[in-house]
Amino acid sequence: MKLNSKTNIEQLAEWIDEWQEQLFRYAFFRLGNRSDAEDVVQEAFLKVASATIKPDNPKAYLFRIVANRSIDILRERSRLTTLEERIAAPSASDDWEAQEEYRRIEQLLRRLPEQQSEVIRLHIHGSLKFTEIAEMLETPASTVKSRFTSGIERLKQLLLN
Amino acid sequence: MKNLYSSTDEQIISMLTPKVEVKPSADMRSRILAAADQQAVQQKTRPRRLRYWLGAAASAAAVVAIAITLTLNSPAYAARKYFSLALVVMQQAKTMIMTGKLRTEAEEPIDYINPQADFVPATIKVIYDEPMLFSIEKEGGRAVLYKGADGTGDYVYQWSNFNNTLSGWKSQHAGFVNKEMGAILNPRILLETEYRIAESNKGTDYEIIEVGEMVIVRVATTAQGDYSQSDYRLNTSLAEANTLREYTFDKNTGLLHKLRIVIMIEDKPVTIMESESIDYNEPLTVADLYDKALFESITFNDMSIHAEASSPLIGIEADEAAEIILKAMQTWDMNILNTAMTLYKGDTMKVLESRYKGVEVKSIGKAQSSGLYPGKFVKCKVVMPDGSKETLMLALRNDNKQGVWVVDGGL
Repeated sequence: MKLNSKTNIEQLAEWIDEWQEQLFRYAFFRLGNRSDAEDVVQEAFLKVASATIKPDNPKAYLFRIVANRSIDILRERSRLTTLEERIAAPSASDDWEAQEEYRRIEQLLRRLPEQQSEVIRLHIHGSLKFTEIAEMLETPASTVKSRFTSGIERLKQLLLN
Repeated sequence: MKNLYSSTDEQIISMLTPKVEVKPSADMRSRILAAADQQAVQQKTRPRRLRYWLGAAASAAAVVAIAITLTLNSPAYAARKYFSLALVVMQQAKTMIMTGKLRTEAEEPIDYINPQADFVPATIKVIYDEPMLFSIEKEGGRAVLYKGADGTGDYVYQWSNFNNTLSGWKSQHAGFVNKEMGAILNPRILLETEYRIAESNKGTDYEIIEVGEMVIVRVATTAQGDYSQSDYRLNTSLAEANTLREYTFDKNTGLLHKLRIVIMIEDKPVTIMESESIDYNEPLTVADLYDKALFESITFNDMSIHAEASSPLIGIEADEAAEIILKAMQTWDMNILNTAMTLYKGDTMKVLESRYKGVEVKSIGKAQSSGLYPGKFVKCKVVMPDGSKETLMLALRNDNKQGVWVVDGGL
């Protein structure tokens, strides 16, 4: 699919209207700041817009791009650790409360294996159903659900016992 | 979820659920659509290049990988990182002293630049307090002291010691330092501005150069403002010029180490401002910001605008105001000129009276906007008292509380 006609722009506009908030919320609580989150979401939409073959499941496609790009950005950040640590202090931006919330939740999710925390993020922050996560990760839905429940169980043991 | 999970599961899920709602920026949708539109046009207009790249890539996956790498390592992305890091570390700074040079004329207002002028040495001193205190001094010419000197923090003081003639003005607003000069004297504001520009990534090009322990971030932007009616203001301030801004950051500390601003005039680069040193956390007090003895010897004219509600300079167009003002100058009618010439006080008014009293208006042109100037420019043809003909470009502004037109330049 190419966005070279009005019809395709309209299609993109519909997808943006339908999924931008879900994608942004997931990206924000993955990356912890608005600008990076908006960058990756924009990139994902532009990617789907320029795809030569229309994806069968555009929503899963978009989430996959956002998830992969977020990992890349997090890796990039880790190379700047010393100065980046200073950024961890609360900033005076409008998103101060949201950033505090990100830090709080991230501290919990860091205690889990990546596969479990990622399913939790996609389900709670991205508001994806287990079947949608399964399609996105190309993994059986039963496995996805199992990763979610295992993650919750592990946190329960760590925090409540 | 309630039926599927135990109450303790629910408790954990609640802990993982954000209590704050986050939403994308209101303009994200339009930004994406505009970028997609542009992307589609580029795909249409560059088919050969696209085919070449597609041919060179082994697979669709390789194309995706290239796109991701390019974006991650894009200069805009890297620039934003450096601005962001510098902002964080500079929050710790208590004071800043920047020395450097500006292409300007020493006696002209503090934000005036002139690419044809020689360099004038300048010093900026800032105490990051509440309110922020600063002074800017162009050697042998104008100086500005922002707050602090009168103990109330109410006034911005500006004075000139050009040719050993002291003149001073004070004003409760600081329009002349709130724009780009305001940004330059406060690197926090400057970097915050650059960060936002890099974030939006619109109409700006970036280049990152690493040199040993330093990294240079170059930002190229086009002139802001509207020049469709007149290009009179083009290249008269940093914001109203095509600029190349060069920031040198210390990679170890993240601090801004050097600043250079170049403006492009017909594709020819002209350095307009360059720092020579930037020092942070030097011991500075208010007394270090200015020469107190000199300051106390100056009579400061209050530039605050006061007009009667019945003033004929309220509620009219700029060209009508120009006509009223010039006619008032013919008889030197102070009922009008007291308000219209608020920005010209003291000896300056005496000089203007000797020059313009008796002037005759021949024609008034249409008021025009230019660049970022908040007022209007009006071309006026006049016959001077000595019989000579002159064309004046009057700068008039009414961006004050009462909306009264006052002369801001052109005489």
